[in-house]
Amino acid sequence: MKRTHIIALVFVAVLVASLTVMLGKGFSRYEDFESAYAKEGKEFTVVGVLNKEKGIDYNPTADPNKFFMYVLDSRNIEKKVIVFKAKPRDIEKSEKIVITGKMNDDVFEATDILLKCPSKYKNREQQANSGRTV
Amino acid sequence: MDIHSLGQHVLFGKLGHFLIILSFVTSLAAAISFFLATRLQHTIDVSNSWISFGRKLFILHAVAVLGILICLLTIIHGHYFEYKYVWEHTSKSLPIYYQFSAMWSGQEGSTLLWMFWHAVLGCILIFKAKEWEGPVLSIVALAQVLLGSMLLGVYILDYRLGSNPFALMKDVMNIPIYRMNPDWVAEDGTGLNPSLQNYWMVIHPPTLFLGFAACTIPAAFAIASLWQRKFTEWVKPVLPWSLFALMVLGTGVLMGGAWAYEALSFGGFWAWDPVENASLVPWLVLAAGIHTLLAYKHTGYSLHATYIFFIGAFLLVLYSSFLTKSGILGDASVHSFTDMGMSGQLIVTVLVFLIPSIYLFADRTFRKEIPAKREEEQLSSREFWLFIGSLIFVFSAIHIIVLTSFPVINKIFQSKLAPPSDIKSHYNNVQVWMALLVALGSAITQFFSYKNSSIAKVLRQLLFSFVAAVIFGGIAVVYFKFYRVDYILLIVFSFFSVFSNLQYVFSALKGKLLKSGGSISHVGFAILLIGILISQGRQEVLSVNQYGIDYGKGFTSKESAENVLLYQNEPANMGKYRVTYLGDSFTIRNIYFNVRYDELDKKGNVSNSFTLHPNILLNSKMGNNPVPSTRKTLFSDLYTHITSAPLKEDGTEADSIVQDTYTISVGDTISASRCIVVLESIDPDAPIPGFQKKPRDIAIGARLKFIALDTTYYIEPVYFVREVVATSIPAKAEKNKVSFSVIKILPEENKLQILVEQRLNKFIIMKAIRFPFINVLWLGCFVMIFGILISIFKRKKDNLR
Repeated sequence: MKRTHIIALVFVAVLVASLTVMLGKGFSRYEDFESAYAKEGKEFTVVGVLNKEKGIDYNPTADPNKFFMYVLDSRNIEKKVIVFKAKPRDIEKSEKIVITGKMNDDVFEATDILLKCPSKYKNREQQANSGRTV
Repeated sequence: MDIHSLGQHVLFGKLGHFLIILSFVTSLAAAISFFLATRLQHTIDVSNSWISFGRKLFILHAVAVLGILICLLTIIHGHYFEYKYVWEHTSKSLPIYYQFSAMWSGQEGSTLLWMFWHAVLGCILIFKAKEWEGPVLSIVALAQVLLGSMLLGVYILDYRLGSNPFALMKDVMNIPIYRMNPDWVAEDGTGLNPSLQNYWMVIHPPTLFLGFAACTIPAAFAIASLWQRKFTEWVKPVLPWSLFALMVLGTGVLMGGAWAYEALSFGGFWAWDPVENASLVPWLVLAAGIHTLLAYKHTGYSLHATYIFFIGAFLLVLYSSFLTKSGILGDASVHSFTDMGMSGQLIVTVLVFLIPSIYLFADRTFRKEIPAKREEEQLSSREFWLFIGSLIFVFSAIHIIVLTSFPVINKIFQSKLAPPSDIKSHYNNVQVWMALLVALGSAITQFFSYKNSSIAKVLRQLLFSFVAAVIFGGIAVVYFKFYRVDYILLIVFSFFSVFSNLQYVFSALKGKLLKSGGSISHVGFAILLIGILISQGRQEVLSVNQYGIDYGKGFTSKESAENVLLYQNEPANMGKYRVTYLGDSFTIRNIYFNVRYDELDKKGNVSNSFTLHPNILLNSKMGNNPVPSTRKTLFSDLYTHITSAPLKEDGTEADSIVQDTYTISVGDTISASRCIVVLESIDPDAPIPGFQKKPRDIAIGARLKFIALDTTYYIEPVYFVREVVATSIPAKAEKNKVSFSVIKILPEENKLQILVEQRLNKFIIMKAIRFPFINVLWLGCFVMIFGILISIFKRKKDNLR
C-alpha cells in the first residue's frame, strides 16, 4: 500500500469515526414533545404548528428578546414554548414552526426557531381576486 | 372584448413553448450527432459530417435558448398576467432591473439561465475544443437535454415532464372564476419577494449559474478522456476551463455571501445555510481537482483522484440543484423551496451522469488503463503535498455535504436526524481545522520541487516567512485576544501562507506576474481566512440587552439578548456609541428608520456622529422585509438592522397606549415600564385639583411615590364623589407619558384599584453588530479571484504555444 492510500484511509476512518460520535451525542433529533419530555434537559428539534387562537405573548417594551407561544406537535400535543429571541416577522402567518431547545418542567425552552411560511406557490387561488376581462 | 390583444399575448407563450421544444429536440439531436461522430472516428469522412451536423444543431439549439429567454423577458416586461410565471414573480410596480431578477427567481427561469450559459460555453467549445469537440460536446449537449426536459411541461402518460414557464394561468390554476369567465386576467401580479429585490439578485444568479455551467466542462473533459482512453492529452485543454470554473463559481459563492451580509438579515457573511453550502461544496472539490491535475501534469501521480474530483464537482452541482429544487430541505433552510413535482427528474439527471461515470472509471481502473505510478511519492515532493492538500479540501466538502444532506438521509432511512442545534458553531469548529491545514499546505507546498527536494533547503527557505508569520500572527492573537489553539494556528498559518507565497513570487518566480497566478490566489485565500477569522470571530454585538434580565439556567444573556428596544428620542449607550432613534420617513415602498450614532470619547464628548437608515421594505402580500444599513469605514463596519417595529396594517408606525390595572394596598409597588411606583399612603381627605371642595364631598387620594431612572417625586391621583357622581382625577408623570387613576376603592380590604396608562413613544427593536476588519475579507476575495484569472491567462498562453 502506498503512503497516500494510507493517509486517504486514515482520513476516511477519522471521518466515519467523527460522524458516528457526532450522531451518537452531539446532534439533536427531530422529536415530538412527548419524547422530548421523556428526556428532559436534552436538546431536540421539534416540528409543529403554532396555535393561532392562543396568540403570541410578546411584550417588547419589557423584554425584546423573549416571547411565548403555544405549539402543537405532530401528535397534536400542545406545549407552551418560550423563545429567547425577538419575535420573528410573520410568525402568525407561519404554517410550520421548527424549534430547537429543551424541555424544562412543562415548558419548551427554544434557543432557535425557523419558520416555514406559506409558500409563494400555494394559496394562490385566494390571492387572485382582482382582475380584468380581456 | 379585446380578443386581438389576448391573441398577441398568447403568441409569445406559444412561440416560447415552441422554442423550448425546439431547443430540447436540437440538443438531443446534437448529443446524438456528436456521440456518433465520436464513435465513428476511424472513418474520418463520416465522423466529420456528423461533427458538422452536430455543430449546426447545437448552434440552432443555442439560438433557441436565447429565443426562450427573450420571450420570457417580453412577457415579464409586458406585464402579461395571463401567464402564471409573470403573475407569480412580478408586479406592475417592479422596476425594470428587477424584471431580470424576476426572470430567474423561479425554478424554470434559473434552469433556463443555466442552459443559456451551457449553450454559450458549448458554442465556444465548438470553436476551441479541436479533437475534443465530439466527446465533450456530446456530454454538454446531454446536459442540455436533461435541463431542457425540465422546461417541457408536457405529459407523458400521466407523468408531467418539466414545468413550462409559458403556462397560462387558466390552464394550470383551478380558480373558480374561469368557469364563469374564461377570459379573466389578473389585474396585477403577486410581485417579486421583497427579499429578492436587491441589486445582488440581478448579478449574483447569472454569475453563480455561469459557475455551475462552467463546472460541466472539466467533468465533460474528464469523462471524454476516460471514454476515449486519452489519459494525458486532456490535461492541457482542461486546465484553463477548470480554472475558469473555479474563478466564476468562487465569485458567485462569495457574491452570495456579500449579498447576505449587505442586504439580508442573517447578521453576517456566511450562515452555513444549506443553500450556501450546496454551492460551496462543488467549489471545494473542484479546487482539489485542479491541484491533483497539476500534480499529474508534472509527475504522473494522482490521475485517478483528478477524475474523481472533476466529475465529483459536476455531480455535486447537479446534486445541489436537486437539494434546492426538490423541496427536501424544507425543515432545514430559511430559503423557501417548493416541491414542483420534479424530484424524480432531478434524481434521474444525477443518475444519468453518475452511472456512466462510475462505469467508465471502474472499467478503465480495473483494466489498469489509467496511468498510475508504481513507486511512492516522496515525502519531500510537491505532488505528495498537493495530494494531501486536496484531500483536506475534499474532507471539508464531505463534512459539509453530509450535514447538509440530513433531510435526504432521513428520507431514505426514515431516520430523525436533525442538524446540531448550534449549527454555525459546529461548522466553524470543524472547518477551522480544515482551513488552518489548507493555509499551512498552501504556505509550504510550492517550496517543494516536483519529484524530490532537499527538506533542509525547503525549511531554510521557509524560515524567514515563518518567523514573520509568528510575529504578525502573535500580534494579531494578542490584539484580538484569540486565545484558542485553533484560532492561533489559523491566524499564524494564514500569515505564513501570505508571506511564503509572496516570497515565492519574488524569489522563485522573479516577480513575473504571469507565472504568479497560483501564488497570488493563495495569498488571497489566506487573506480571506484572516478576514473571516477577525471579522466573524471578533464581531461584537453592540445592542446587547441592558435590562439585566436573567434568562435562567442554560441561557447566557449573550446569545439570547441581541436585540435592543429604542424609544424615539431616548438615547441608549451601545459600546462606545450613544444611539438615538430619531424617527422615521416613508417612501412608497419603504419605511426608513433614522438611527443616529454618536461616538463618544473617553470624556464622554461626542467625537463623531453619523446616521444610519435601516429600512423595512413594505409588502402586504408576502410580508415586510427588513433591510439593514451598514456604516462602512476602512477598519470596521457597523451593521444595523430593525428586528421589529410596531406597524399598523397600512405600514405606518403604531402609537401605542398600554393600560394595566393593579389592586394594591399601602406599601405595595407597581412596576411600570421604566419606573417604579410605591403606594405610600391613602389620603382620606385629599385636595381635589381643579375643583372647589364642598363639605359633603368625599375625596380619597393615593399618595404615590414615583421613582424613575433619575428622579423621585410624589403624585396623587384622586377618587372623588360629589352627590352620587364619582370622578377619577388622574395624576400624570413623566411629561404626561404615564398617567395613574384610582378607579375603585375596596374599603373592606383597604385596597385601591389603580389604572396605569402609559403612552409609549414610537420605538424600534434593533440589532447592531460591529464587524472589525471586514475589508480584509473583501480584499482576500479580490486577490484570490485576480490570482485565478492570471492562472487562466497563463495556461491559455501555454496551450497556444
